[in-house]
Amino acid sequence: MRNFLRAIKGRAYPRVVGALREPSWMFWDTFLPLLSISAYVFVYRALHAPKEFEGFVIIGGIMTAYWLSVLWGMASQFYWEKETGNLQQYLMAPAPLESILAGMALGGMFATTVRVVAILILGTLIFQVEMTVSNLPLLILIFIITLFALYSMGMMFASLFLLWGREAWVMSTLFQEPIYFLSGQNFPVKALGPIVAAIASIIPLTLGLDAMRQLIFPQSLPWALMSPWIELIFLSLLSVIFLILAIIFLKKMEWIGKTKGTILTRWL
Amino acid sequence: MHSLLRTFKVGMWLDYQIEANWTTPLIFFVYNIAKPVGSSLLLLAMYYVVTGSIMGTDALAFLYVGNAFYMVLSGVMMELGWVVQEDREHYQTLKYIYISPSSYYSYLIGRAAMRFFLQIFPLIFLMFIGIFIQVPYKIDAPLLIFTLIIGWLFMISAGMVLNSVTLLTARYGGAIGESFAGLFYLLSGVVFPVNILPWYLRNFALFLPSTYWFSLVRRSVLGKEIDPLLSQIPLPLCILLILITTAMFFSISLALYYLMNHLARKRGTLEMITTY
Repeated sequence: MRNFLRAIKGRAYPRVVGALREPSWMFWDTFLPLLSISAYVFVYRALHAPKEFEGFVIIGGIMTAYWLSVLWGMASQFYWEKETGNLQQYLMAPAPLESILAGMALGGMFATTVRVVAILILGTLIFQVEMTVSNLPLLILIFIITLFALYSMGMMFASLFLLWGREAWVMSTLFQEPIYFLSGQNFPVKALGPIVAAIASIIPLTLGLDAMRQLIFPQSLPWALMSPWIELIFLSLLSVIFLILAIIFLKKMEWIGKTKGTILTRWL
Repeated sequence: MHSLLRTFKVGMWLDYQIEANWTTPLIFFVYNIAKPVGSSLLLLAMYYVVTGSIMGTDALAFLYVGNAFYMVLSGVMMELGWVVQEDREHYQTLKYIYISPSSYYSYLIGRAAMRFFLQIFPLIFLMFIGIFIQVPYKIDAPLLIFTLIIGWLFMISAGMVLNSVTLLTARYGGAIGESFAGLFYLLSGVVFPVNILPWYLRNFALFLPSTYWFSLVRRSVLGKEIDPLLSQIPLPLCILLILITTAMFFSISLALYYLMNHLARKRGTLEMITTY
């Protein structure tokens, strides 16, 4: 248990320090995402949309930052670590791989949160978006569970992407714009119709965004997919399922590595 | 000159291999259109939740056509924003390319050319889909070809700015490319008219070649300019402005490339590996 916790701390450490040590990352991750957020806000302005829609864009932009962190900082990470030679050291270390993944998740969450806070403050100030939180404890709970579900999904993908090799990059790219659309990044997902919205709900981002929109912008209630409480239950279920799958795939990946001996082979 | 052309050709070939040799051409095509289609659907959904329709109005045509062509720009930017990191840290071949007798500059242009070419297919696909949402196409073929050629030159210049910067930065090229493309998305009247921007950004937009490029795109594809501000600029003047701004952009990117190249050699960052 001590090793488990030490490994979490050890893997989270470079991300926490790296987030603050590399100024260029800080710049690219905070100021520049505001550009695409601003563009979408201006699209709504050009269409004379109600003011709360601009708020949807900001909330969507924030959650997208976490999604990108999950894709590039979790799902693709084992593959990247293999290419740079760190993975074999993780495998040899006297700590379970689950703790390495947990450390990456915690470090990734921290690094992304630093940027997200900046994006939230700047975005709200620049566009004068009014947020009326109707139930703060529920909002915080949903936010935390959404992150937990998202990073559990990232942990699950980490093993899969490693097995898929080069296709990992392809999958990460593929999981961007189409997922932004399916999860209702900038618009209420209910607009996609009940069937598509239900299928899209397998992505924690979809339910998390829908619930947060309802709790921050009460005017958006007619666009709600379902009650935030129900979405909280689904998100909790998704968290547990993804976590279990992550552990199963991790074992599977280790087994394949031991039997085939190709898991550490680079350029595959 | 022969050597430069050969490097350019090899750069193009290599880019295609890196991008596409993991699968069959058909699957690659599907993968290649996923991002542009996803992005267009996102905008259509935004349009739908506000207007209640996704059928042909000027605003929809503006948004749809601008976004379809922006995907070409975005693809090239993303590629060129990542290529240095990829060569340096993933494949760890940057140092070998540097010490080879070929020109790194023409190698990068070759890679950008292939990416531009590959992005044309999703563009054609999106234009085709546009027929179903009643985008009122009125294509001026000579103007469209000119627009694509000048657009490629501008994109290479912008891409070289990115490359130059990433010679000195840590592993975050993808984000740089995406963000840089986001700058053009915001300021160039891609999905909303330039006059929606605050005045200070509007004035800045008029110095960007991309603003005139998207204006030429609309003129060549829709047969008219819908943007209230840019429609006041006659076509010949618009062409002249894009030529001037592209030449300026190209000169800046070339100067920046040589400066950053010198600094990267001096600081020893050509072999840098960042694994946070």
